[in-house]
Amino acid sequence: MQSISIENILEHFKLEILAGQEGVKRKLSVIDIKRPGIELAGYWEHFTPERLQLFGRTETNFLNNLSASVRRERLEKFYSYPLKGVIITRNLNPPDPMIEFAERAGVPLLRASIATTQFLSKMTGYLERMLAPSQTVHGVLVEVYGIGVLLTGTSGIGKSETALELVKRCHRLVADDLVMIKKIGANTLVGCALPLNQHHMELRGIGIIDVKTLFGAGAVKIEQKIHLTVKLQDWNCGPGDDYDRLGLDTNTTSLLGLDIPQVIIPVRPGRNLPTIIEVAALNHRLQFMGYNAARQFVQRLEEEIKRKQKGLLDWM
Amino acid sequence: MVEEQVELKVEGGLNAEVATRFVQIASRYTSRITLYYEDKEVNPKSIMSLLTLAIAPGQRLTIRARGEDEQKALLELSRFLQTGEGSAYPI
Repeated sequence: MQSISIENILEHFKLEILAGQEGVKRKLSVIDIKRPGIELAGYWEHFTPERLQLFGRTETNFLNNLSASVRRERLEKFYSYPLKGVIITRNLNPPDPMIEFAERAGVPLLRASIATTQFLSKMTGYLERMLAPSQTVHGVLVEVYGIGVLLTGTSGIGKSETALELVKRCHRLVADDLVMIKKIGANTLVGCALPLNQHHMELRGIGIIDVKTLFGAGAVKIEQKIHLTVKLQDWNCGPGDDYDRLGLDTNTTSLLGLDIPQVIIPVRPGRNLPTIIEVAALNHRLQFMGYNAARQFVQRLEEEIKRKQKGLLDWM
Repeated sequence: MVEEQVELKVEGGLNAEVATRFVQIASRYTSRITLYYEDKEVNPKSIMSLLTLAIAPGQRLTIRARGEDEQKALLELSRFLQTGEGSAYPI
């Protein structure tokens, strides 16, 4: 389970800490954010203290309009739960005695300057990225004509060499050898390098090279959405040819539970892999735009066969 | 060298699916195989040329094979065109 400490949030959003400094190491592990309006009104049935608590103008004004004794009672109840952190937006002042309770419970009370809904959407995006399920895969991630292509295949099949040639053709390297994949939202996969291998590549016979220094800042990219995986496979691997000859079937592979389109490319000396991958990326774009060359071709073929068949029947 | 004239009986004619299987079978033999249809002559190990023929059921074509396994190749390919039966793996 991924988690992030309140301290990280504090630094990333440059928030102000009003109370509960001792609790900044508390770990947050849910993406959802809670605006505890109904709880402050007295209904605690489905309260979710494990979420980040967000107080906007509504919550603060509501508390301020309560009588001092009821306000104290509600806040006491609120702070009796194992909270992770509370954030007040719009530079509002926390209703009294919130600071006192926060300090006592050791729950960080933070303050942001921007409006609540704006902050909420920024925060959701940030938490989704930080708490996304992730996995590392053996492969090379490159961006070709704007398409994120994950090259996979056994060691020594030529993934890095292919990626290098793609970089020389003005495409971009994201990660070589080990790619960190994160699932963002319901259907997006984003890949990046680990901090240590970022922009570096190992070439057999030469050793480790720094792609950014050699080819410039335009040759690398920090993270990239993965649209397509290309599996490089030994030409004589299986019996017969199990790869797609026409490109009619949509082959997919599963990464973090998501189906990603996959192209299997048989590798043999003399094949120009970078060109093939460029074409695979362009073809994927074309298909995404709604044009499937293989399907069009097959449709024309079937019309032609039908026309001939009709001719035969007419003749008889 | 052996050759045989066959009538295509597979349902749907030489469409994408049938052509793909035909290429798979033909590719297993080392013999040089040629198909003759109307005035065209194609190598059936290449899918694109095979599809270009667009042969309808009921039309006739000639298969010619030359090489060590010519007999077996001809037998299996002509049977495939007439029945649609043929295994993707060597017999």
